Amino acid sequence: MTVVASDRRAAAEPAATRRSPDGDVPRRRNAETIAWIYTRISALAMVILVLAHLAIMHLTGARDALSAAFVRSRLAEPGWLAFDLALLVLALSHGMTGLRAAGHDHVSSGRTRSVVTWACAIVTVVLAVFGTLVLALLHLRT
Amino acid sequence: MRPGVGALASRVNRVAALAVLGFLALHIAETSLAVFAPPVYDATMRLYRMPPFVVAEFLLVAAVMYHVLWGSFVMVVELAPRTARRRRLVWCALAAGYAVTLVAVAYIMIFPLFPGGR
Repeated sequence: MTVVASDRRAAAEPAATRRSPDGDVPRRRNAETIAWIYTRISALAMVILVLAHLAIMHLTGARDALSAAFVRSRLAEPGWLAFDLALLVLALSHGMTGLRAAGHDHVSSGRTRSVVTWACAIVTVVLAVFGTLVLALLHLRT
Repeated sequence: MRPGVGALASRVNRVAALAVLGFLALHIAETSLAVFAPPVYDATMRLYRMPPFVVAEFLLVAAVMYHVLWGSFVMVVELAPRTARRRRLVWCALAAGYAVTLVAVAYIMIFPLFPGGR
């Protein structure tokens, strides 16, 4: 059986690389691609939540009635709790993914980029855990 | 070489996004006061009703809306690259819609601060 150069190249390609149907453009799914896709998906998922949150909190009379008791009474309802949790996680992850990408635009060193990525990941987790804890406590303490 | 309109708009988007992200972190901390120090939270909410903070809120809403519009434009161009050929027309349409929406939001949020406001 004759082995041609294209077979050797195909065998040498890492598993994460796939060719497009026409075989010309290599497709790569790596962390950058996943982050790019996630930024778009999270934006679409939360655009309605964000606009609703802004409209309710800033354009209605809710602003003038805002107090700790009001927040506790609103978060006593599971629907509002789920709304705020989804908004928290989506907004944090979307924002930090974008911040990571913006940071990488200004940093060329691979090591510094790694620091930026880890810093964004840690801040995301810390704020998400803290925010979830706050919402859960507000839900439970009614 | 002077940056083009698109580059400037992209930089404004980044500044707006950073501002919103910074506000989000502060918002999480401020909401935690409702759990750990309710009287301080109530005092903070009274402070937010003062005019300088209402103006800051308006700027926050403006920043969020700008970020949403710019991100929508980017996704439209990614999905339909031919849109980029008419990007100036799209920018003008988005800018007009943005301006109209901002005026409406200002009418709701800012005008009541003035004597005789709505």
